[in-house]
Amino acid sequence: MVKTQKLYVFIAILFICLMYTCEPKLPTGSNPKKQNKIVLNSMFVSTKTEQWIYINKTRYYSSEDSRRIFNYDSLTVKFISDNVKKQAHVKKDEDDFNHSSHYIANYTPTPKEKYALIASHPNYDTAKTSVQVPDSVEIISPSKADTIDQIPNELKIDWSNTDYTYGYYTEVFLIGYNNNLGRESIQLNNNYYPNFLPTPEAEKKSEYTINGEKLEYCFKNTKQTDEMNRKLSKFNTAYLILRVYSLSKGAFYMIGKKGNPDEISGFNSHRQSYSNIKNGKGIAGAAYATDSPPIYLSDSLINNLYKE
Amino acid sequence: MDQSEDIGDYIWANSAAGLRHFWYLSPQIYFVSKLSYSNFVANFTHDDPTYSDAIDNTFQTTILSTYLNYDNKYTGNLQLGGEIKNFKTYLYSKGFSYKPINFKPKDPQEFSVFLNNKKKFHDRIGLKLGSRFTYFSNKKVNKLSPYISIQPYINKDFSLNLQYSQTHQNMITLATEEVTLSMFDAWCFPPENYPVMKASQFAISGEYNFKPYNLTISIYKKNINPLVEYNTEKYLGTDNNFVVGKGEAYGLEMLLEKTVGDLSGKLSYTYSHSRKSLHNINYTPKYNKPHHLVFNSIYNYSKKWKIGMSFKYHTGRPFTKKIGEFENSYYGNEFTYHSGGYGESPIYSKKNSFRLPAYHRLDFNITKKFKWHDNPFEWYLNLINVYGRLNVLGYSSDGEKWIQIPPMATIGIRGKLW
Repeated sequence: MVKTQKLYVFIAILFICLMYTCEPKLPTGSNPKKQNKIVLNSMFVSTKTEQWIYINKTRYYSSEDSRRIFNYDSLTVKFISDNVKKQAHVKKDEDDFNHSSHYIANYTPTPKEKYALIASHPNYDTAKTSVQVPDSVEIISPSKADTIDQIPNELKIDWSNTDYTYGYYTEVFLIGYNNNLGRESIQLNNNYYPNFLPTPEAEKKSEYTINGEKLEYCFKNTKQTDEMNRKLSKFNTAYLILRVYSLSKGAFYMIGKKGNPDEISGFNSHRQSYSNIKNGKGIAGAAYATDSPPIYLSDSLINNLYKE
Repeated sequence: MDQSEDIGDYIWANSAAGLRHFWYLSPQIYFVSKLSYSNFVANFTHDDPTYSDAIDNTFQTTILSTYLNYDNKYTGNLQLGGEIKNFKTYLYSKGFSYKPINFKPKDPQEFSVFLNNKKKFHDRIGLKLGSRFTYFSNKKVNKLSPYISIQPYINKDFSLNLQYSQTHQNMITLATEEVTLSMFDAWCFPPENYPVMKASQFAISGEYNFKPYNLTISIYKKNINPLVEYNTEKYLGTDNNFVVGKGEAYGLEMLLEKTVGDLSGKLSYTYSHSRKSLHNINYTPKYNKPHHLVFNSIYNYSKKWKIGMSFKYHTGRPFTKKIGEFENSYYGNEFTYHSGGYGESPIYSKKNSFRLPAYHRLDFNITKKFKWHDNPFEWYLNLINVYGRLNVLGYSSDGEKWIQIPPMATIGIRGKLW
């Protein structure tokens, strides 16, 4: 009997224990005080005369400085290139209302040119990067201007591999011209319009193929959505241009990063962001554009596409 | 039903069938043939195609094996046989890496011949020798996998065992360091340009009986080189689907058992250490929990009452922590205009350089036997996580923690009705 009573007491003690909760401590591990770094992002492109450089800073949770706003007044951004031959101070865009400011360099990159960007601030390590502008590509096919009477099964462009290039990115433009309407251009491989060709990815291969069926569908079904296509039948001249961008490694990663919904997935490996900024974070990249010879759309093809 | 809360359809199916045939010639000589088939299907899709996670995996295996068993006092036990494995696999995944993977290899096959020999010398030394020679069709390579085990019996209570083995494996499972509880293991075969994985293991163990206890201690060292894994860091379309690296593990295992008397139980302790090297990063994998202790005990308090307890402790698992962030400037179209958009980029700690808090839990169960219409019955009371340890399953990027089993009690009755 006494033995059984002891057992009941033991069970009661266990139930009392259940009321208690034992909180674990926070995760253990090395969490050293980190000093914030300058973040520099830029993509210099040969088709522009004005290049933007975005500057801000990291926010390490262990750093007190992370709560303070970046003081742009003490920031100096310099640009050095083979062509400029001297350091040029880059001015901050005064119209920038964003909390991450951009600086503007009036400059157009040329093939194989090397340039450097330096962002210095008294409170942070000086962030530096140097970028080699990729060479232009040589378009192998189509080698000369051509006129098409009907949309082929596939439209393919080939080019030669070039120096200082990590990959390629291809844009397809439809360009129309009319004496009265002027010149208009639209990028056809652009997900912004639902019926257009899919947005390309940065690729290693030196070719790009457009499916003819999709191209025809794109031509026929964008009349409602795009002013350019509504006017297509009125243009005196209409042609396709395939523009190949040769990309530096930074440019390749910058484009490859874009549009990854999977990044929000909890399954993704916690991957450190690619960066080519010394003593800082971010990406600096350069792209050089080469246009293919024009592929003209014949009058009969335009009429066939838009006679309805 | 709110569609936004619909997490999609999840299908998991596993089917298997097998046949075994004995051709008995004598107690010493007989043939054994086996045919087995298994089919595994795992599918998780969402109605919204932009949803981040999706998986479609099929893994079908057909195995035909046969061997001749031969016993002889001079040769010991001999087994000589062959095996054919045929696989059909398909894998589509989205969400396990930054880029979707769509992977359908040619149906791989494995053809093996094997020879095993087991013999005891004067009841003082046991010897096991074996070797398997396998042809992996999708890699077009042959691999030899030998093993040897020597077991000296020092005296009737104490024996040692020295083992060395080499194994080869061509199939892998999908796993990321970030998933704590995987819904299922998705299987696939890396294509022909990836090597067959090789594991080499060396172990020494000793077993000592000192009644009523039995103690086993072993130490081991294992190397995996090459190690092939699914590339969970596939970030660009041009990145490879799989990565090649290497891994190593070593440790010590102890088991103390008492199986007789009113109080019986098992106490096991493992110290283990493992590292992996992938993407040129050497890190501690998520399953590395150096200290692992389990104590189970049953006390027969009386003829009717029985008390059982279980205590488990292990080091918290390693994980990668978000230690900061920065704004990256992204562009609507990098080349034609500046859109000036901004996105957040996380800054992570070194891979798996943080650890969750240690896991420990104490459970009790109490049973009382009784008879009902002459049938054996018992009351039972299970008390889980008695002292309410809020063990952490994982942390989100913003520091929120997910807790495992809270303290709870279940009470019930079980027995035979007829």
